[in-house]
Amino acid sequence: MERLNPVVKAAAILAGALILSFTYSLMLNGLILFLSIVLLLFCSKAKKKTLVKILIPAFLAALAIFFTGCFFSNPGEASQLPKNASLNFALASISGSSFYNGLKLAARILSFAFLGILFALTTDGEEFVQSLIHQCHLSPKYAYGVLAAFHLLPVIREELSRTRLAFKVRGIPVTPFSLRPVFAMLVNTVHWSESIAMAMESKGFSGEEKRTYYHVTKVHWYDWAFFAGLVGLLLLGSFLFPL
Amino acid sequence: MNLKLKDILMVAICAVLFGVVYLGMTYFGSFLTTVLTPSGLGILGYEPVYGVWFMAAVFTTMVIQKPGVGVVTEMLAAILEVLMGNMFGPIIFISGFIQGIGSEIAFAAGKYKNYSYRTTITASVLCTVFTFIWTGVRQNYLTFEPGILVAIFMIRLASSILFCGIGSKLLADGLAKAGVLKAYPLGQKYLDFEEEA
Repeated sequence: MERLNPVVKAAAILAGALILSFTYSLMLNGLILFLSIVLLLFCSKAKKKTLVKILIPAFLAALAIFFTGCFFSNPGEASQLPKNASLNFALASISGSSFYNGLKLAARILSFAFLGILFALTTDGEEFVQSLIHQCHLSPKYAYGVLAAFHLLPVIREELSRTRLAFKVRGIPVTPFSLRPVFAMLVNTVHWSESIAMAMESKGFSGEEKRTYYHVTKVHWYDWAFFAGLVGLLLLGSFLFPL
Repeated sequence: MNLKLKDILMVAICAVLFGVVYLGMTYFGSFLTTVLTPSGLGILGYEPVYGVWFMAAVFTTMVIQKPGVGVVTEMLAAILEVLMGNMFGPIIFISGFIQGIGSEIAFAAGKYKNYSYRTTITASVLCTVFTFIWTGVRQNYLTFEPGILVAIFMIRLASSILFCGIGSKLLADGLAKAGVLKAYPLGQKYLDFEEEA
C-alpha cells in the first residue's frame, strides 16, 4: 500500500467513498470493511497501536448513529424487513426495520472511516504533496505554502495554549469556545505568514512552475490496477447487492 | 485569481489554526456524543461546534476580498486535514469544496464588495444548507424521522450563524481595527481613518 502513488490512491478511495455514498447495501459495506482490514493488516506497515487509536472516534460515531437509527428511524422509508419482527431490549423494544436501518447506517460510517484510515495510515504527507505537484499540477506556491503551514502545526498548538494560559493568568476566564485567544492567535498568523513568505522568497523561492525537483513521483501500472480494482469491485458490488 | 505567497501562507495558517481550535472543541463534542448515544441522540453531539468548520473560509474571504478565496481556503484546509491523518481521508476534499462554495456564493452575490453582517450570515446559512444536504446523502437522512432531522439542521444553523456568521466578522473587523491587516484590503479602510485621527 505504501508504494502506491498517493494521488491515484486518494482518487481511488475518493471514488470508492462516493459510490458508497449512493448505495445503501449492508453486504457491500461489510465487504469494504473486510477488504480494508485485510489491506491494513497484511499489505501495509501501519502500526496496530495507531490503528486502534484512530478507530475509537470512528466506533463512537458509528455507535451514535446506530442508536439514532434504532430510535428515530422513519418507518415508511426503512421498511425492508417485516414489521412484526422486533427485538426486545431491557428498556425499549425496537422494531426490526429500525434495528436493521441502524445497523446499515453504522456500517456505512465505519466503511467510510476504514477507507479513509486505509489512506491516512499508508500515506506520507510530504509524498502526497509532491504527488499533487507532479500529478495534479498544483502550483508549487500552494504546495509549499501548505507544507509550511503543516509544519507550523506544533508551534500553533503550543502558542494557542500559551495564549489561553496568559488570559487565565490575568484573571480572564477562558473556555474552549472563547474567541479572545483566537483573536490573539490571528494576529500571530498575519505576522507569521508575512515573515515566512519573506524567508521563502529571500531564499530564492519564486513560486513558479519551472523548477527542478529532487523527488519526482510517478504513476505505475499497479497504481491504475488498484484504482480499477477498487472502483470496479464497488460498482460490481452495488449491482450484485442492491439491499 | 492570483494570490501572493504571503496570502497563501496566511490562508493555510488560518486553516491550521481553526483546525486546532475545532479540535479543542471536539473533546466537548465527543463527550456530548458519548452521553447522548444511549438515548439515540448521539448524532447531535458534534453539531453545536459544526460552525467552526466554516469560519476559515468566511474569515479569509473578508480579509483578502478576492473571488475564489473561500473555495481555495477550504481546499487547502482539506489537504491539511488529510496530511494530519483525518479518519475520513480524501472524501474531505468534497466536504471542503461544498463548504467553500457555500461561502463563495454569498460573497459573490455582493460582488465581493459587501462585507456586512448580512453577507457573512448568508454565507453561514448557505454553508449549513449545503453541508446538510451532503451529510444527508452520506448518512442517508431519508431513513430518519423528520423530527430529528429538524433538530440536526437547527442546531447546526445556530452554531454556524454564531461562530461563522458573527464570530468571523467580529474577528476580522477586530483585527482590521487593531491595525494588523494594513497590507490587506480589509485593513486599508481603517488605515485612512487612523491617519486622520
